[in-house]
Amino acid sequence: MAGNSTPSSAALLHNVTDIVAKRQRLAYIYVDSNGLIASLSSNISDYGFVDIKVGDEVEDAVDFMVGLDTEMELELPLIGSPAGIPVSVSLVPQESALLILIADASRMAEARQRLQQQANDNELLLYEQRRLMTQLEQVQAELKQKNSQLKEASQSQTRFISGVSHEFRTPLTSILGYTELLEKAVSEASASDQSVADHQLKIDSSLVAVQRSSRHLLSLVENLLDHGKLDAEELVIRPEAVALKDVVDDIRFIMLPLADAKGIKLRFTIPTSPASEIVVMDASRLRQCLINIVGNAVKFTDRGGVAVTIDWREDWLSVSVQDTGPGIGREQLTKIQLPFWQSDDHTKAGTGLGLTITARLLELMGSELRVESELGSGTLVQFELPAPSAPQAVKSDLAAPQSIVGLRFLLAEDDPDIALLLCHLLEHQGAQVVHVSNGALAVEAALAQDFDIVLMDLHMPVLNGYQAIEEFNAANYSTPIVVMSASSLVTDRSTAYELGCAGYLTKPVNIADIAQVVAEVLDSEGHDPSS
Amino acid sequence: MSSTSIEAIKDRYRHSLPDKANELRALIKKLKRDPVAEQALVNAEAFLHRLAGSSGMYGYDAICECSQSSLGMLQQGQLAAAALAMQELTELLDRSA
Repeated sequence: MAGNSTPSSAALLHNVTDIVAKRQRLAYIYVDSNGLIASLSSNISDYGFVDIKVGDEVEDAVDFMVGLDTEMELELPLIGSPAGIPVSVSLVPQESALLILIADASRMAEARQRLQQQANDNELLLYEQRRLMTQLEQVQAELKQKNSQLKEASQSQTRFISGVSHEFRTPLTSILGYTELLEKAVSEASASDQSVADHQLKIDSSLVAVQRSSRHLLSLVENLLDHGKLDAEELVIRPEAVALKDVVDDIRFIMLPLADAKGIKLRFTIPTSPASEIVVMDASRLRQCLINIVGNAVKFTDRGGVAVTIDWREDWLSVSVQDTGPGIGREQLTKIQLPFWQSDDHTKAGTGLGLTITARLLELMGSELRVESELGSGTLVQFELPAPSAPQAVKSDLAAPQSIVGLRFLLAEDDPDIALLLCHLLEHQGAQVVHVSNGALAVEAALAQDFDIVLMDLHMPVLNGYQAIEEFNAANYSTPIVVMSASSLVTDRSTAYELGCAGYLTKPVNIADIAQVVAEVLDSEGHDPSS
Repeated sequence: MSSTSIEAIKDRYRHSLPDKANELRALIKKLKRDPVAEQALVNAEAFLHRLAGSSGMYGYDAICECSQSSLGMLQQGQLAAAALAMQELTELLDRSA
């Protein structure tokens, strides 16, 4: 078997070698021990080795052989042949000779190129992936932030609704409670056949409480409405002449009961001068700001008190509100003017709009809200506001009604109901009153004693008002006479003035009307009631 | 006089409103019975004049307004309209008492 196999194996090997050689387009160069080309395959020219021939120095004929160590096997896997075909070269030393095998490596080069391309593509994909990842992370971070803001907004909205409900419920409950008390007081008076006057104190205090709660509700509604205007930039400031005292009195009236209910002190310090000053400013807006600031101070102060100082110097009004409340931390202090911001103390919920609106209103009025606070050290809120003194003419118009204290009145009035009421009102204001019920008695009384003013009804028995005035004229009576009549006829008025009356009042009259006319009459007559 | 409270004075007036309503009813009856009687007319005008003044001062604005309009109708000779207005006035007085 072995004897038979040798020739066929040699033939098979030859065939295989031939197939591989052809498939790989294998070429060779055989170099002798002197470095000269001893033989070469005929297909060597396929690779561009066209000038090569037997007997050439191998290093001269084949470029890649320059400087190579020819005594050891060497693989050059991918090099370019002179024909530009990628080839793989194997150097196989054979004793002192050298066999150079050259194979077509186009497929390998293509494969390598594809691999390289793939590697490049992969690199590009990685780069793109990294870029997208970075973008994704940024978007995720932004989403996280937006989500956090939305969550915060949602929480603020919930707190706002809860706060508004709480704020509205308190005064509404108070109004309902006090109106029930009012109803009870009136029905008790009816049931016991007593006059309502006997229950007046209870009724008055209930009415004051209802008014106070209603004012508080109104200020809440104003804040809510103003917040809408704040967004639309529609807040308007309307300066007018106003007595500072009136504004301060309003705040005191609204806030003192709140402080009393909490058992804390609320002290107002107002130097006399500014209290009596009449200045030009938007009193309604100032009132709103003070209600918000003082209201907050009272709300958050559970022990100690709140000190409000209001001063006016050289056309500037300065306001300072110091409380002994829990104070505000530094971080929170930067947020207190943000809309809907509220303290962590949820028992003191509000709308979270008061300071936002106050700061904006003060800004519109040329001022700035300043808040200083530290945790545990209370809070100080301050602002200065331009408040120029009102012109003298305006001040006179706003001045307090003329006092009738000490004036001596002769009242001629036949209606006992009117006479009773007027006597009471005039005497209550510090005047002295002598009442007569007809014109004849009026003349008699006037000529018998001194009066500063005569209030004369027209329609009276015995002598009517006109007839009595004619009697006065006949006697050269000089005390000013003011006619009071339910008649609004122009003829009555003109007749009264033709008869020399100093003033004319149409009934119904009130004490302020009388004081005003009396002041005008006495001023024009140059009368000094103190003389 | 000043020792009397304003509430008591107002209360006194309120208690007088039924009497005023009755007085007005009597005046209306006289006017209806003899519309041309001069004295009945004078008495009605005087009553309305006083009521217009006093009711307004005590805060009864509706009575004051109705008195003034009734008086104006009487003075202009609109007796039928005045009678209706005075009838309304009696109801106002009754309701306010």
